[in-house]
Amino acid sequence: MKKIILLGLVAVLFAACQQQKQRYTQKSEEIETVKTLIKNYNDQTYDVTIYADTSKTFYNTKDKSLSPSETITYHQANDSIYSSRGFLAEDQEYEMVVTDDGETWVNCWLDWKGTLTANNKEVDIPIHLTYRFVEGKIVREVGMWDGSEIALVLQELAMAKKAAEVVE
Amino acid sequence: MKKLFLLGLAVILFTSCQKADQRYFAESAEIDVLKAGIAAYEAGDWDTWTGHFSDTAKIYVNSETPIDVDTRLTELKGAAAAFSSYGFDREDEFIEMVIDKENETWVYYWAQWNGVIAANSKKISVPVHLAIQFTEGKMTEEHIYFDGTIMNKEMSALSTMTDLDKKIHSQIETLINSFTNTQNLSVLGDLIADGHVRYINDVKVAAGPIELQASMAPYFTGFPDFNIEILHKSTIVDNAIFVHWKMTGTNDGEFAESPATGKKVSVNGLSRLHFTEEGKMDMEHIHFDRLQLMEQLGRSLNKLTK
Repeated sequence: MKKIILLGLVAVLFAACQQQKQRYTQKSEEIETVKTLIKNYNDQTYDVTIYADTSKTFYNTKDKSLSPSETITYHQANDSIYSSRGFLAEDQEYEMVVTDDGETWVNCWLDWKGTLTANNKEVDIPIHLTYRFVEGKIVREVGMWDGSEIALVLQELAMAKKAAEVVE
Repeated sequence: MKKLFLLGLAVILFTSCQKADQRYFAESAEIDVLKAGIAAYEAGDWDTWTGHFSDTAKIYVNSETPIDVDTRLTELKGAAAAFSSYGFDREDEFIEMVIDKENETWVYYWAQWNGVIAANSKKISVPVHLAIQFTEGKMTEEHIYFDGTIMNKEMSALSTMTDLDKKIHSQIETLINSFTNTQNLSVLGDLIADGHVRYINDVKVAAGPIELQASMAPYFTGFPDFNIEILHKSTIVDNAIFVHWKMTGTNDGEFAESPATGKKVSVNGLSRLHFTEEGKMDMEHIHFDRLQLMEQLGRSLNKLTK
């Protein structure tokens, strides 16, 4: 009888331990899903099904969200600005946590590099992305990065174009 | 013997579990240090802010290239001086700590940052993420992520603003904060030009500071908590500016020949203000829906016309 109790205790502790461990990991299916999403972005082979239908994406904003299809349209529209762009393979960090509220989030810190078609200027931008998962699907995407350098170049190009039009 | 073995296994599992499971924290001493650092940043208490970093700390501001604490301090002091108020939105903030597989301790912070530019009252609001490594209780590495597009644009516009335009913006701050919202009449001398004229809905209601006071007096009496909030300001063209504003107040005093109702009112309006070359205000064209104000006090068009 005592043996059974002890065995039971070992089993319970083991199970509890397994559960506890899952509050932080650097290896998980969800992390693999985010890596696929990043690869899709790099390859420009966007797959809307990685997101749940009702997923919301927030890029550098807390209230103007994009739906999954709008997110892809957003990326495709930007793709025309660059002759090449994508996340670099080095220095990429992925982690998954389960918060006190039981929410599963994959956090990542990536380096992005793009070359502007208009003037061949290279831009390096560190980007933080974080994804909430429910049942294997992304339900929330939040991204933060500094777009000011690109905005400035695009503004200068627009002004130069306008000036050229006036001369013509 | 088997029993002993099982007991031993249970103890090992329990202790290893204790070690393994402590990788995610919603509360910790390091989290408290970061919170104290943020509070010091918001209060402009730079000695306290600096004290949370190690001497050799590296700070990465939207960049792969780090700067040291002194350089960051100079940047923050400069930015703080340009804003009349700034800080993080406590309601939206989220903070957590992890210990990663290399046994590095990282605190992560997400929050909305809000600031009001002192020179033109423009509000800037951006989401910010901080990832901070702690070593022996001190911040040794900080990575900061936010979109600086709007802030840089505003700062660059400010750097090209003429002294007169800067003075006009500061005069508007004085007009709102010191005159209309706190009823400090002593500021009018430096604010109002000789020959000043005020129109409300295209009707001339005042000329000069004394008549200006008289035209505001019924509002100050009727609404002791009279308040104007600036919603938007246009750019300045030929010393003239459009200001979109919101007036709020509680009718705790006599107003428009009626006793106090205790009702709260909120009315938006638009003012076109013109300033002299010395930066004094010489013309105000104020437009707002006076009927809306009276209706909020319980009056109707019928009663008004009776």
